Amino acid sequence: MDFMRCDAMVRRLSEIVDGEASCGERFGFYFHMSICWKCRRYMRQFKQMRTLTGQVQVEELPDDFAEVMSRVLQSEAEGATQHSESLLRSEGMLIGQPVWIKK
Amino acid sequence: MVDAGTLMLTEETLVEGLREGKNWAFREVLNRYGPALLGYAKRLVGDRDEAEEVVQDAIVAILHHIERFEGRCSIRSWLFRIVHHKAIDHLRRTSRFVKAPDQEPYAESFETGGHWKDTPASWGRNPESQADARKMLELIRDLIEQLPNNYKEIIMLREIYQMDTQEICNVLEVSSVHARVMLHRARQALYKLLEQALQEPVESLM
Repeated sequence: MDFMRCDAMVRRLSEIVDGEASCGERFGFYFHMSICWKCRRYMRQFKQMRTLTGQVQVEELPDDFAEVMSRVLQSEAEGATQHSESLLRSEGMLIGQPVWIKK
Repeated sequence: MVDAGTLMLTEETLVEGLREGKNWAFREVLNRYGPALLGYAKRLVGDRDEAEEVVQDAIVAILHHIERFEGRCSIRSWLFRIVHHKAIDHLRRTSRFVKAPDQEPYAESFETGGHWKDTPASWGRNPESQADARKMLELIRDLIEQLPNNYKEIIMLREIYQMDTQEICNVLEVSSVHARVMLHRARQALYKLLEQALQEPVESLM
């Protein structure tokens, strides 16, 4: 990594902020940051974006999801594939062919 | 019947339970990983109903192929890998799979000598302020949807599901070098979208 070049810093920024760079690389990186305010601004905002991205919420499962899938599993275990298919269809949870009867 | 004790279940016990077709094991997998798998599928295919369909397909496939799980990666990585394949198949079937161009998003931002051509724009916001942070969070959530599929996916795995590089490699079946390069390009692409969005008047973010 060329410590005097901004493009080299920006290219390796993820490795630095993820703690995956070597000690020598980190030293060179922070030396560059101490003399380059443009890279400092980029890094500060890059880190802010990364932190906020980690706060994006995951989805909630529908209330009956486990119930329906559990019945499908039970039918599967019994080898009643036709029954599984009709159960899924009756629950409105199957569109097209189910995986287990695909060729 | 295992109930309260499921909190203490190890991965090995869980896999064993699935292999034996135990209902408690299935429910535990859904409780532990279901919301994450659904969120992952939804952001990949872009639609809640389609995402539920993808997750259902994946769960059926998981139950069919549980014997193939060798424990070389975590069960979470394995579940995400299956949802990844199902979601990509779904996107390809519906001609919606978009792959990022093979170049760095910031390649043209530097002079020949490697210095910035233009100063990176200041976002002019203070993420310490709750109001600014909330607006930016909503904006980032929307902008992630605009990323090409492979960028969107790796951003989710790392930032939202907090996977390390090795786990990402297990899910996407790529090398660690490839994963690192792709993750950085994805972050840069998201940064670029955010930079453009923040140049718009503040009112548009209200």
